[in-house]
Amino acid sequence: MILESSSLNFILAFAAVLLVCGVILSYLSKNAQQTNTEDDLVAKLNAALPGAQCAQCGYPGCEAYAKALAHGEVTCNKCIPGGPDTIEALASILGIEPPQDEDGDDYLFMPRTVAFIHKSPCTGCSRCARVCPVDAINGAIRQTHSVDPELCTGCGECVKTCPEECIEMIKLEPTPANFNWDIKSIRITGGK
Amino acid sequence: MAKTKQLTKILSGKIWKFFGGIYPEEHKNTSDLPIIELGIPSLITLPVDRHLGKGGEILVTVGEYVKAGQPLTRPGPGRLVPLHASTSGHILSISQQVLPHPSGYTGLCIVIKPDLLDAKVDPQPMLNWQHEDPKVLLERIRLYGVEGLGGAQFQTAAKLGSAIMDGNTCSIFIVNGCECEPVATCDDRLMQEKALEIVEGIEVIKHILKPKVSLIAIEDNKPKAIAAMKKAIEGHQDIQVRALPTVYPSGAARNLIKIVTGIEIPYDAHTSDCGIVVDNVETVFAVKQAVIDGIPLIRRVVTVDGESLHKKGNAWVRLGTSVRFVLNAFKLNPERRQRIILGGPFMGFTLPSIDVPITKSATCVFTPSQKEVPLASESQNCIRCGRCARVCPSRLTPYKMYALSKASKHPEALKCGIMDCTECGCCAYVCPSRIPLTMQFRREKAILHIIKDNQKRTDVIKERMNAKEARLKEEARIREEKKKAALARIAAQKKLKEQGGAPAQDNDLAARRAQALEGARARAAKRLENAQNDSKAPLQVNKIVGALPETEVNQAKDEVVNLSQELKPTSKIVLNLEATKTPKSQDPQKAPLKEDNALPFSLRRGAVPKIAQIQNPWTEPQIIDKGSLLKVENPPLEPIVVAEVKKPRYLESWQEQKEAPKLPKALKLTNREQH
Repeated sequence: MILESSSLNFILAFAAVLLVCGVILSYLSKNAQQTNTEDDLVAKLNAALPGAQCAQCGYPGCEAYAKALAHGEVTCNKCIPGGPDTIEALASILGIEPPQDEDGDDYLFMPRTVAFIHKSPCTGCSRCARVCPVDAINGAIRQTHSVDPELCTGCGECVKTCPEECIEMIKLEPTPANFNWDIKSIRITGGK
Repeated sequence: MAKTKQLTKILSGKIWKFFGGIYPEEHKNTSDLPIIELGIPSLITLPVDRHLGKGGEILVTVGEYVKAGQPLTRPGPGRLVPLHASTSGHILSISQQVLPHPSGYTGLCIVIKPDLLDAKVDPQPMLNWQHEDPKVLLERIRLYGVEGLGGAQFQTAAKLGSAIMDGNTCSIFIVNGCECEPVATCDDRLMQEKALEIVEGIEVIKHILKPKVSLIAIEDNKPKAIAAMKKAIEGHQDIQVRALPTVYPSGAARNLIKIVTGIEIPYDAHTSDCGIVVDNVETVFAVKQAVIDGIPLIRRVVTVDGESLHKKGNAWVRLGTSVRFVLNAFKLNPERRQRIILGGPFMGFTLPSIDVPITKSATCVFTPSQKEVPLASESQNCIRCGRCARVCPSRLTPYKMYALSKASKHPEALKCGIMDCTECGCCAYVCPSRIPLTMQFRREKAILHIIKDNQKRTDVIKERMNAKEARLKEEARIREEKKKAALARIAAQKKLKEQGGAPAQDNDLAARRAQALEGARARAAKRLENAQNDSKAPLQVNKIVGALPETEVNQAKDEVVNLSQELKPTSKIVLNLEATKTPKSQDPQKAPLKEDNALPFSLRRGAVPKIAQIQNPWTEPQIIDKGSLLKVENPPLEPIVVAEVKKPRYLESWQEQKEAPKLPKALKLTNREQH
C-alpha cells in the first residue's frame, strides 16, 4: 500500500514535471521560430544576393528583394547580375525548385542599360551624384555631370532624383563581345 | 638528362602522332597558281580596336595625308602593336564601320582614300642585326606591326619575348608550314616563292631565341613547298625540314608540338613556358621584312577559292582592302544565297556583309557553291556514339559539354574544359546527327566570358558601394561631432548669461575675424593697385588736364576715416575709402568698374542675375493673311476656266446609285433575278 501510494505519487509528480517542461519548451520553440524565420531568412537571402543594389529586380535594393522573397511575394529568378548560381542558391535557401527561365541564356547577351545625362539641360545640381550608390556620376557643382557607363549599374536612382529630367536610361551599343553567336554553321563533308 | 634524350629523338627525325584528328577533303586547288599582286582598292578600312588598348591614341586626323607604312596609332601598354597605313592617301574618316566578324557589328576604323601613287615611307633596314641585342629586335618587330598571320593574330614580339624573358630559355623553334585547313594555300605558295626570305627570317628569330634546334614543319601534301624549303636551308646545319602526315588539325600549335617533338603541353601552360615557340611561315616572312628590309606589315597573302569564282588563286592583299574588292578581282559569279566564308571552312565564319576589310587574321576567302559545301541541315538528337570524343585533339568530351551548355549549366561546362576547346570543328565534322557542336562551344565561351566580366563588375560595384557607405558614415559622424560641440558652446553661453555675466568674448573667434578682415583689406588694396597700373595711361592724361589738388584728396580721406571710425570697419567702407583715394576726375566709366572689381567675390556674385533676363522677348508670330498670298500680281486678261470635275461613279455611296450597274447579257443571272 505504502509502496503503491509512493509509486503513484512519483508517477504523478513526474508527469506534472514533464507537462510543465513540455509547455515551456513548446512556448520557447514557438517564440524562437517567430523571431528566427523573419530576420534569419532575410539575412541569409541577402547574403546570397550579389549586393549590387542595382534594382533591376524591381525592388529598391538587395535587402528589399530579400524581404519580398521571404514573404513569398516574388519568384527567385529576378536577380540579373547574380545569374543562375544566385537563382539556385536562393531556391535552396527557400527550399523550393529553381523556376525555369523561359529566355535561356539570351539575357546574358543583352547590352547593359545605363544612365545617360543629356548635357544641355543639366544644371549641375549634383543631386544625381549624391544618390548614385556606386559613385559612377562625376562632375563639379554647377558643371554638367556625366555617367561612367563602365561603373553604372542601371539602378535608375538618378533618373528619379533629377529635377531637370535630363537623365535617361539607354541601352549600350552591342559589341562583338556580347554577340550571341546565333549563326548558320558551315558544314564540311567529304574526305576519308 | 631526359630532355637531351628527347632532343636526340627529335633530331633523328622521329615523328609522333597526336590524339584524334580527321581527314577531310583538302580542296587545295590553288597551290600551283602564283601569288598575284592585287591593285590598290578605292578605299582602305583599318579597324583600330586591336591597336589602341587602354591609353593608346590615334596619331592622325581626318584629312591628313599618310604614306604607306606610316604608323596611325600609338598603342597603350600590353600586347598591342601600332597600326600602319597600307597605302598612301588622305584620311577620309575615323568612324564606325562594319567589322570582319560574324555579328556584323561596327567598330572604330580609320578609312583612307588612296591617291593610287602608293608613296611609301622610306624603308629603314637594320644592317647589323646579327650584332643587335634581342630586346632591340623584339621592339622593332613590335613597332613594325608583326602579329601571328596564321589566324590567331597573337603578337609575335610578345610570344618571342615570353620565351626568353624571366630566365626562360627556348630550346626548340618550330616554323609552322602545315596549313592543315582545307582550301588555304597561302603558306604553301609563300614557301614556294619566298623560301630564301623565310630562312632569313628564321635566322633573325634564331638570333633572338637561340634555340637548340629549328624545325620547319610541312604537311606532306605540299611536296613543292617541302622541296623549296629543303633547297633553301642548304648550308644551315641547325635547321631541319619535317614532312608530316596530312591530318587536320596538325597546324594548331599544341598538336604540331606533339607531332614534331612528342611533348604534350599541359592545359594550363603556354607553349613558350615549355621552351617551345611556334610561328607561322608568313609571320617569319613578316619578321624578316620588318628587321632586315625595314618594311612594316601592311599586306598579306590571301587564298581566294571556291566554285563560284571564275578565277582562283593567291594574292598579296593590302590590309584594309574590302572583301568585295578581292572578290571582284577574282570575278565572283555569285549563285543564289551565295555564302562568303572568311578564314578556312573549319575555323572561319560566313560573312554577313562583304564590305568588310581583310585583316591580319584573314587567311582565305572561300566562296563555295551549294554543291561544294551543302547548306547545314537540321540537326538530330545526340545518339551518344562518342565519335566526337574520339576525334577531339584536345581530348575533351564534346557531347557532354554540348549537353551541359544546352542546359545552361555553365560552371559544369567550364569544369568539363570548354576553355581548352580550340574550336577546330572536328567534332561537328564527324557528328552523324549533324549537331553544330563548334557553334555551341563558341557561344558557350562567349557566355562564360560575359559571366566572368559581370562577376568582375559586381566585385567592383560592391567595393565602391562599401567605400561610399563608409564615407557617408564618416561624414555623418563628423557632422554629429560638430553639432555636439556647437550645442555645448551654446549651452555654456546660456549658462554664463544666466549667471549674469556678459557673454564671454570668444578670443579665438575675434582674432580670426580680425585676421580675415586684415586679409580682405590687403587683397582689396592690391586689386586696386593692379587696376591703377592697368589704367596708367588715362591717369597721366588726367594729371595733365587737371588733377584734384592734394589738399582736396586729403580732406576726403579724413572724412571717410571719421565715418569709418563711427561705423564698424567692414570691407565696404574700406572700399569707399579706397575709391575716394583715386582722383575724382578720373574716367567716369572706370570708377564703378573698379568698385566692382574691388568687391569681394561673394558680394559680387549676388549682383549678377542667376538667370539672364530676356532682353528681347520672343515676338509673337505674325499671322499672315491667307488672302494676300493668293493675290496674283499680274492678273491674266481672260478669266481662268476651271473644268468641272466629274465625280467618278465608284465614289458615290451605294444608296445614291439609282440602279445597279448594267451587266452584259451573257453575265446576267437571269434565273436568280426572277426568283
